[in-house]
Amino acid sequence: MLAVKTERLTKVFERREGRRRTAHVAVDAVDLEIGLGEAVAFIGPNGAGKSTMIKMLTGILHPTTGAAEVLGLVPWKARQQLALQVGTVFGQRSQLWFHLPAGDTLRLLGAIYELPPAAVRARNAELVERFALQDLLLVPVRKLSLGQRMRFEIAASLIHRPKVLFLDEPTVGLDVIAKAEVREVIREANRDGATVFLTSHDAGDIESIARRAIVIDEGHVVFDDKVSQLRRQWLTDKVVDLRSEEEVAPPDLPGVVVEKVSRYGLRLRFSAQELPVRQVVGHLLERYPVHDITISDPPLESVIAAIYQGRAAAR
Amino acid sequence: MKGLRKLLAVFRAYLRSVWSYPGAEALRSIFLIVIMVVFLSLWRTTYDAMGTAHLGGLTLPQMLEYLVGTEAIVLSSPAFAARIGDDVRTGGLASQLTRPVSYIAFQFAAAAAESWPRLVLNLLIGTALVWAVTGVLPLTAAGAAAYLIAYLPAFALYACLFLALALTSFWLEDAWAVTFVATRMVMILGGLLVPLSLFPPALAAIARILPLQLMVYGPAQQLSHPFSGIAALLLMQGIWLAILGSALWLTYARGVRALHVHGG
Repeated sequence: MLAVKTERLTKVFERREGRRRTAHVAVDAVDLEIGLGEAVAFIGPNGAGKSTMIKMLTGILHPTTGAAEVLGLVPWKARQQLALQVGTVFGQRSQLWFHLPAGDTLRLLGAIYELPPAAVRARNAELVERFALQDLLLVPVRKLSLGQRMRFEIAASLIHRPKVLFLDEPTVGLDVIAKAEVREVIREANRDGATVFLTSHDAGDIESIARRAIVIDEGHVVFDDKVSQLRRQWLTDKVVDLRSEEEVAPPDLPGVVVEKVSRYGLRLRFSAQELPVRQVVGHLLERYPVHDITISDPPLESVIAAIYQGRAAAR
Repeated sequence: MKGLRKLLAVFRAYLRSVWSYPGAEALRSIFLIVIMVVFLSLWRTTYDAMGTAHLGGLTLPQMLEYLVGTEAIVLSSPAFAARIGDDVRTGGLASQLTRPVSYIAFQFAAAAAESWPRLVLNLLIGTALVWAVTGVLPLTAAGAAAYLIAYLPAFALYACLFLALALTSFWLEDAWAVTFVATRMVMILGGLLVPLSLFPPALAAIARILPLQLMVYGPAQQLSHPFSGIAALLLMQGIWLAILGSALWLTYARGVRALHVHGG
């Protein structure tokens, strides 16, 4: 059984513009197969169809056409049955009860997810320890900081040990430490067997959690492969960091962009498709008394930025 | 059974939530006191002007207790339109719908937890006020019991009607206008301000065929005439509950398909 399977899944929203009605295709004939235990990042610019996809896969939205199954269930037909097996976090909105103490919220969710009282207590104790929530249990949710609230949000989504986790920007607005904590917890859930379906604009989330990336743009899947491939395939640029034994002057090599110059160092960027790596490196080794040289792929942020800027369409 | 356990958990959680704002609850009760003082003045003048001890079969203390009963129901009634409209506008509905619990049943349980304690509090405060001002304790144990028995289906009727109207938010995004009209209809034709026994005959005939009086007048008149005609009242409430419950279910089933959950 697959965790997620979609066949030509399509969602069209009707919009009213004055008296006219226009159709907006949010998700366009998407075919996907995600195996149990995978960790998949679903990437795309705002309005690309990511959240619409999650909402269809969790049964909140009915598709216009096409089919989908999550853990063998049709989400919009068996939403409640499916809800017992999946966990969701919508980073930009809360699933907690703002006026209740945070601990009460976890207990209430335990009951809603049909856990026996003893199991709720045991699972809560486990999550409280894992997320270091002990001192926050009596604090009303409305008084928690964003980071504290997000720890409770993730804990709440894991209370029933879901087989699939749908995470829609789970680290949005968090500081570096809180992000690292949340990522570690998601990785741990994945190691325990949960399939992770993540949307995020944060390259750190994608690199540290997902092994597979699916890029969606204007409702279409435009890339589906390993995260490492995403970097190589999407941006053919290479970054060269050079450390010289003598003071350096920027090279004059067509097709090579100088990104940074210091007294003894250079950072250069070039397209490996247009300029062979050996030609660039050969030129540098010839020109400078090289102390150290590193060739790397551009950071994932650059890849995502390129996707969002529509460079793919331009190519 | 599992479903019931979930709803009891929701009920308990919302009960605690209501009392996390004691100031707001106190303010609601002050509003009831202000209304009752105005009613007291108006009805005392009316009884004096008519030169009678009974109007519509009620003495002045009974009339005031009737109004305590109707106001207690209306002031404790849940604001479904605001709650569901908020869920739709903010996109919070996404979290609600991904839980293994019926959205409608959840709203019922949450509303009951908020409304029932408020109803009892309003009834006690209003009764104490009438007692203090008229010197007559207008509430009997039988009256209170009959009132509460008739209130439970009345609450369910009110919830079905206003949940169905509030669910129009799934299409309209804001059901305020729709529910505003409906609440005014409850006030006028439900017997909030004047018992149906004092309505002009034509208006009373219209009010009696509508379900609105079953939500307010029906339970409130049990305070002064305990268990009088309660079987017929419960039967009518049951029939209307089947009708409005079906309407609610159909509205939800259609609305959830038309839903456009906001936000990324």
